[in-house]
Amino acid sequence: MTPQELAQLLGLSPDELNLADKQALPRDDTARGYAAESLKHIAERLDAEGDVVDVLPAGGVVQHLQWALGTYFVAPGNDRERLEVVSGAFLELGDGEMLVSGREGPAVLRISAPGVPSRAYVLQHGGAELWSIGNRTALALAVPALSSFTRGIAGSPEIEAEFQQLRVSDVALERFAAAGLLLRFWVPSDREVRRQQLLALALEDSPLLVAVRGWYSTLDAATRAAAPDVALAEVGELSATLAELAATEEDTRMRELASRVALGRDRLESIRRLLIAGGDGSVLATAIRSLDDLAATHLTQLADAGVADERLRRVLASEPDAWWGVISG
Amino acid sequence: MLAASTGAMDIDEAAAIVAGPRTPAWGEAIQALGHYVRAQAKKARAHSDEADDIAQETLLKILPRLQCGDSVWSEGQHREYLKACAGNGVASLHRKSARATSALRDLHAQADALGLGVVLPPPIVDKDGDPREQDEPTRDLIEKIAQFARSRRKPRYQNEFDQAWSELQAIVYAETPLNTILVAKIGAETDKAAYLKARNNAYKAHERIRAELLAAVTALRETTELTSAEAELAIKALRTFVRCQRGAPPRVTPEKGPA
Repeated sequence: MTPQELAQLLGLSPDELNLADKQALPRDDTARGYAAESLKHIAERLDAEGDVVDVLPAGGVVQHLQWALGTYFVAPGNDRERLEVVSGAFLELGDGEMLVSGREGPAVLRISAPGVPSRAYVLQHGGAELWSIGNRTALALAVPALSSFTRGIAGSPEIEAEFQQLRVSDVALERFAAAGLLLRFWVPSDREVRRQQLLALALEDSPLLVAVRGWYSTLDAATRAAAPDVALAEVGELSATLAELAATEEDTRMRELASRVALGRDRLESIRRLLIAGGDGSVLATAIRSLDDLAATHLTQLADAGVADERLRRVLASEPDAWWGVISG
Repeated sequence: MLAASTGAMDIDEAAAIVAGPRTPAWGEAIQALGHYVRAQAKKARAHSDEADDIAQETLLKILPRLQCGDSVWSEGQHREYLKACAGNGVASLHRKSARATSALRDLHAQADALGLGVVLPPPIVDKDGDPREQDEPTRDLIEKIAQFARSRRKPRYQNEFDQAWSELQAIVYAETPLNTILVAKIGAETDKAAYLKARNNAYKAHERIRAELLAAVTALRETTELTSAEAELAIKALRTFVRCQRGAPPRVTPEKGPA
């Protein structure tokens, strides 16, 4: 499929699409004549038949049913992913799983998740293509090395290690959160250095704050505008997770959901702090307030779920009003 | 901790100064706040060095927020906020020490197995000084809001409100785990299905009452029965109106088979 054709289907401009990979799926001589069968009939045989081939693994689960030529089984790779068949015949199987037909022509499947660049699969008879949908935020957002922010001063190893993970993450949300994480938790390890920085606060802003502001001011307008966008998408996702939590009775699942909400809120807080430092803090205020109010109605369940995570416990020592820290005890 | 301090500045004055634009009084204000946090950490039984660390780290995290114009504490709540930071900071240190001690004990076991003598430090005891204890005015404020929320319910639903409200108070003020409340309500000799049903009912009842408490704050603010500052304080308090109940597994009997 040409970028122009795909872009038209996805409602994008062609320069936002990049062909990431493709895979030939040659005809399987052992195919048993399902090529013309309905998707419903194929679905009935899913558990009984074999011969499936993984297709271009890149998040999500996409498998070609070799025995049913040009028919694909697709499923979300995790709870955050959403699948959408943009073009082509499909049959929903429940729990987000689907059968997609590429027999009559290319089927287009979009996989998206909050804060992650979306991807599109073009699924057809004989082969599949994986396209990355240009998340220009992720591409443009280069977070500098730690020393750019800390001036080479040693700080808490746990925070620094987490920063290193976040700054190179594929997830735009996490890259934005990286500098905010430092603002929230990084302090020099050495007591004398801390003492000097503290005394200097009477005269000037903290060196870390100055460094983060300086970096943020160099971001182009589109990247800066994307920060609240990815944060707002996460707010929507966490609100949905809270609703799912309220409907969950099983302990393990409850703990998973509560943990996801709390850690997600913690990431959001890092972005909020970055935006505040950069002077753009007000854009998230209303959405985050609504999310916190919603979480406040579920506090009994959130606390009872038994969330235990050091990343949440550390919040208590400097942000004791943060519910996501309080529920972690 | 910072430098020799005159100790002259009051903590309330210091909090007001650092919440505003930078002035020549900032240095003294930072000193005063540092001494307050340090004293609170010492009260929570931190050693001197630990208290210094906690005071420095707390202020280095909080003051830049104030410099950015971020809302850190509600009006008049700086003492409680800093006290909570200090207490939580001490608890965090002790958790880390406990983990280190545990690792040391593992080493000791290994050394013992090899016939080597290792002297262990005494076990760390929890010295957390209950840093999140809610102050009396905030508690009174929440009670006022709860009674207003109750009055908005039709009389036939007020008993349900009273039940859920007493449970929430037990969880927050008496640190009673939810499972203890539920076992007291439905009996210890219950099957898992009955327990889960009771727990789910409690979750729903608490969800309703929590939503009503938040709505009551809005209503009371609109009718000026709460000031904006009181409303803000109440919202903040309601957003953490819980105690973690981790470590208190339900005590239920095994599921009964069909009769």
